[in-house]
Amino acid sequence: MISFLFVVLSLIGVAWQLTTLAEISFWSVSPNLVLAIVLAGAILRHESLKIVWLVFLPALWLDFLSGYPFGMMILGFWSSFFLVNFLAAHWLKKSDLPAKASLLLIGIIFFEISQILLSWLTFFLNLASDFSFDGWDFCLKLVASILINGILALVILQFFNKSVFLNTYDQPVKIR
Amino acid sequence: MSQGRFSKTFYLFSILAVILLLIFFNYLGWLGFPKDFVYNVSSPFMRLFQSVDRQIAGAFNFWTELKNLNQENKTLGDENKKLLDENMNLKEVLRENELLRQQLAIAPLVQKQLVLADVIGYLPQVGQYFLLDKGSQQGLKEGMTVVTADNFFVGRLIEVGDRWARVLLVLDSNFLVNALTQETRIRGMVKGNHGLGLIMEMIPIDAEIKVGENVLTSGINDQISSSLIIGQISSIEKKESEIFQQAILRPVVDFNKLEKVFVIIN
Repeated sequence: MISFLFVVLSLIGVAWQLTTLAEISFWSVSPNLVLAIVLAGAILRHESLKIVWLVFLPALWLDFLSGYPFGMMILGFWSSFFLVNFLAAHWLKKSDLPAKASLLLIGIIFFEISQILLSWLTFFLNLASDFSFDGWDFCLKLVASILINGILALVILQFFNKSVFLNTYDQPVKIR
Repeated sequence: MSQGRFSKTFYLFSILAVILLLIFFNYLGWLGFPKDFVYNVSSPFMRLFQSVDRQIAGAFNFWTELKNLNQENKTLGDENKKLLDENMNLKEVLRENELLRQQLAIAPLVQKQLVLADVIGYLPQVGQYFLLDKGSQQGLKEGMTVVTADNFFVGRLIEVGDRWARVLLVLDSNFLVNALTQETRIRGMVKGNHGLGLIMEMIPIDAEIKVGENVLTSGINDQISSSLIIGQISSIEKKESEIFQQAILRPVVDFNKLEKVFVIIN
């Protein structure tokens, strides 16, 4: 039941990403709800492994609806999740705000770089007809992305931590 | 490595394997059904969010534009007079053209068959794409041209599902279209500038193009209908040492405000 609810909520989230959030832009960067969910999911300490699968659902929906070539976004999300999850387990084990913020910072920077590398790869494989990189423009967008998506991910992480929805996931329901 | 950590890493690599498998399936064209399913489930929410956004934006724009109303009214009045005059002349030319066609026994111009579609999604982070609410069930196919009601060029269909389609906008840097200037008839190639505007390239250095001139699709080689307006030349960049010059174009369409488009299906 909870998995079904998560599927529906993730579809609504992606619909929101493609409409309202796409029109909100700061320094030509729109909030990336899916990136925020993926990074918050990577930092989240939870025993249930199924949550790892569920975190990737919105990324998959987004790629189905707007990724071109297909797979480019979800691969970027996966690699950022993997890196942040690894760092959270080995180096930045503390769960205070500076540790979470550092992990998010690393995750966002890594995601933006991975998108550039994957764009280059698609160009190299003839799946895209153009690849150009402007360092100054990239830096400006990166700063905007860190600010917008970092705050969004912190809010989502807070929501995940407080959420009964995730805390009860995979646990048997007690009936009196 | 602890048991829990090992299982999590194993899980993550299983997800990667699934992603790679999906990419392979997409390459084989087997993901049509899941894409249709995701679209069908999420499109009612997209429509809902779109309509709420438009209502909010409409109310906001009303108050911000109220102060400029007088000036805008005057400008539109002047423009209207100019267009009426131009329209009258064009009607005369049209009549003359029809007569000449009849005299020379040339076949009449083929009427374009259009399908009206709603823009229901937009994601500028990945590239310049629109998601439309019409698909192969309405006769849409990959490569078809997308325009606005005023014959302004929007883009080309790059992926078509049963009831949805994705348009690559002319603003995207992956888009290339053969073009020509309306008055001076100089040919070139228009491409998007990463969503920031348009650039017309491959214009011979000695060609005389003018700022303010319209740029149209030429209809040569790229399966895009001819004579659609792409943009207006806003500046020209010329270097004596090069064999080509380039022009910066101002798009005629405000892509952020586009709600409905037409797909040319013939």
